Amino acid sequence: MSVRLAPRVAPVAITGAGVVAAIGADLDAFWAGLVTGVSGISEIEGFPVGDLRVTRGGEVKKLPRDVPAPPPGGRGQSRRVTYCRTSRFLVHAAREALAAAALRDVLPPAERIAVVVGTALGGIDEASRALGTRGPLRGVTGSAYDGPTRNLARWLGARGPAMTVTTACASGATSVGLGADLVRTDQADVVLAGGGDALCRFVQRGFNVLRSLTRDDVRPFDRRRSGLLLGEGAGLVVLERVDAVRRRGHQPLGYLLGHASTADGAHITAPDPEGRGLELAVRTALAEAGLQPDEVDLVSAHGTGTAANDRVETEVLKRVLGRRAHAIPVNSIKAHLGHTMGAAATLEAIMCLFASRHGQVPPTLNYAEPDRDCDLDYVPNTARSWRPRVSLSTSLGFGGCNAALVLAAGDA
Amino acid sequence: MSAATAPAAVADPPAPRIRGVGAITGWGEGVQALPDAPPPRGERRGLVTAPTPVLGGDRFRRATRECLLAVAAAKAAVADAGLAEADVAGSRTGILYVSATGYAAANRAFLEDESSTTLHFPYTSPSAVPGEVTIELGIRGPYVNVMGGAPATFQAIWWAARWLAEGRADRVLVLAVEALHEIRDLFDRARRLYRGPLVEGAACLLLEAGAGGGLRWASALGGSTASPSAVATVLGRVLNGDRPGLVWSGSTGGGREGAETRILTGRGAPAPAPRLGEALALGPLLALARIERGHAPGPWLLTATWRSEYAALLWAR
Repeated sequence: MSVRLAPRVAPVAITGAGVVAAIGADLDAFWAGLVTGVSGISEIEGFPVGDLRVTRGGEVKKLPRDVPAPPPGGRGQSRRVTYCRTSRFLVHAAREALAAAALRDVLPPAERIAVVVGTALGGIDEASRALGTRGPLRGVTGSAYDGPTRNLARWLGARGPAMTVTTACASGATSVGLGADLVRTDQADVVLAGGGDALCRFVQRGFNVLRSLTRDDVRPFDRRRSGLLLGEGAGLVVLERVDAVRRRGHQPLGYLLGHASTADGAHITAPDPEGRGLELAVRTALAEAGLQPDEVDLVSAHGTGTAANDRVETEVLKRVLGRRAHAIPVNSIKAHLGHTMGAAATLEAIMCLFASRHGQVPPTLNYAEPDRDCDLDYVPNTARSWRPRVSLSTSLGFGGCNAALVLAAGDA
Repeated sequence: MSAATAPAAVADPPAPRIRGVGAITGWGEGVQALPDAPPPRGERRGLVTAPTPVLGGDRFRRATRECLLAVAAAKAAVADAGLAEADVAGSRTGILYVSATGYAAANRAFLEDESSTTLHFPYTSPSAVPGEVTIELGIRGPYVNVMGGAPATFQAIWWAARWLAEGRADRVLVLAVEALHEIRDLFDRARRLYRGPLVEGAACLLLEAGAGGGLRWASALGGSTASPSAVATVLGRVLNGDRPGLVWSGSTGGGREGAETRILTGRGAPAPAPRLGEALALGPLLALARIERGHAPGPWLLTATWRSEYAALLWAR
């Protein structure tokens, strides 16, 4: 790494990634869709929405019903174990991540493999089927929050720590940060970390009653922004120690340099109006990375397209990054994907690493009218040639959750 | 906004100091309310239902029972530590929340009542429970929620100890809530998977940096159930030659319990302390609170299973 680092903690190598999202169920389609401005928003077909105010979302339309073949030592779907939609997203992403990390056939012993999954909904879709029935017991256990985590570990054949993290819509960042801690502290040699969630009537109805969903397009940072649309999918990264990756001669996709997850202590559903928790998360993640704010080249914002979130994020970025905040691209990919909840932060982290690899920053779609309160460079509507060495990804969630990741390019 | 702290990674952190304890169960409030022995055999299939705390303030009119339990336990831990609530406000206090069921009652209510309104949905998110605590106490420091049974509580304690050792926080609340009354029928369907009465409620430990021995945590998944080899791997890693002075075992089920007993007996460990029932994520916090108040000799070994996971925590004093 040629980035000038004085890290407080050891960087952790990100050696592979895998994705499932509405714009594509693999990395190539995902990246192509991001840079060309494809929107995955469509009418929801997977469950009844006719009585709801908003009936669109970033639904994954094409996903094989079958669970892919597991790696050696792993176990696929059986008569006794069914994989819910979130679990299937996760194992499809895991298959791709292992292949990208060149690990599929050279995995370490099972007890040295860990999984950390962030989710906002867990197995809630299974719960809706299990309640009120006298069906099989697995319907109950599968509906637990850690059901998808267990299924991923089972498919992978992992016998090390298995963690289920829920910091709501910041879960996919917190899980990557905790996964890196497992590597640093020698609890595991390989960690699959990330997040996943599936659209279901439960959450679509919930955000409908909250009036958080827009009938318009999602317009992050635009003056006319009027809310978010939900999405679904999974994002996973493979985390390993830097020296171990060097020994096996694999070129990492990038590095995780810093992470922090913090509380707002302000409101259950809205961000702290002053963004104090988010500011602490960003400053702590940068301190952990040993970087100054002026070394950040790209910000992947949470950018939901809600009035409060986009204003607060902009204010925090200006406070932390100073003049640099106006000089670097700040994007949001939620108009492409919808808000994928537990998957969102991991998908955004993967976007940052691909921006470094390909020298392009995906645009913020549907941006047309500047807002006085949101006055940064949001990369409107068209991808930009720019190769960030260091990226900052920010996330927020219900319950006053905030998270920040600092990532470096693989060849930085 | 104070300058961000300068964390440095710590592998096996020092065991923290338990400065305050808050506990609310069906047996009453506080550690002293916990019974000394498991309930008689005939009562082992019941549910020890926790009362719903009454908290003043208009803000709590929407809060769910699990939120009220959480806030009451956290406030009790702060008071037990001899601190004012203002002392824990701000960015130097962290919070780790853990639960296996602390969302299920709210989710069920929202799933089964299509007329539910905007008042209900936010409370279906597990993060609403610690969220209410952070709002009530003004906590803005490190914050993570992990979901699962007792092994997830070990994860939370281990991370809390690391935050303290790395200087990320001056104190950390480790909070667990289990609300089972509203979903008891689901647990009745899984009755064969656990032993003893179900115990619901809330517990909170207020931890500060300790100067004592280390804290070791290990966890392993078995196959369809926690396997003897997983038990051997985990115990080998956490004991690392040490002989525990006290054992609390949250393990249930023949195979893993047998393997655990064989290994611990071979190490000359004492018999496990009495287990009061199936308290899921709450169990280790209630056990630690009792152990700490009892001044038991260390190191303390806590073990637990959850689904196919077997985990252990060694707390050296």
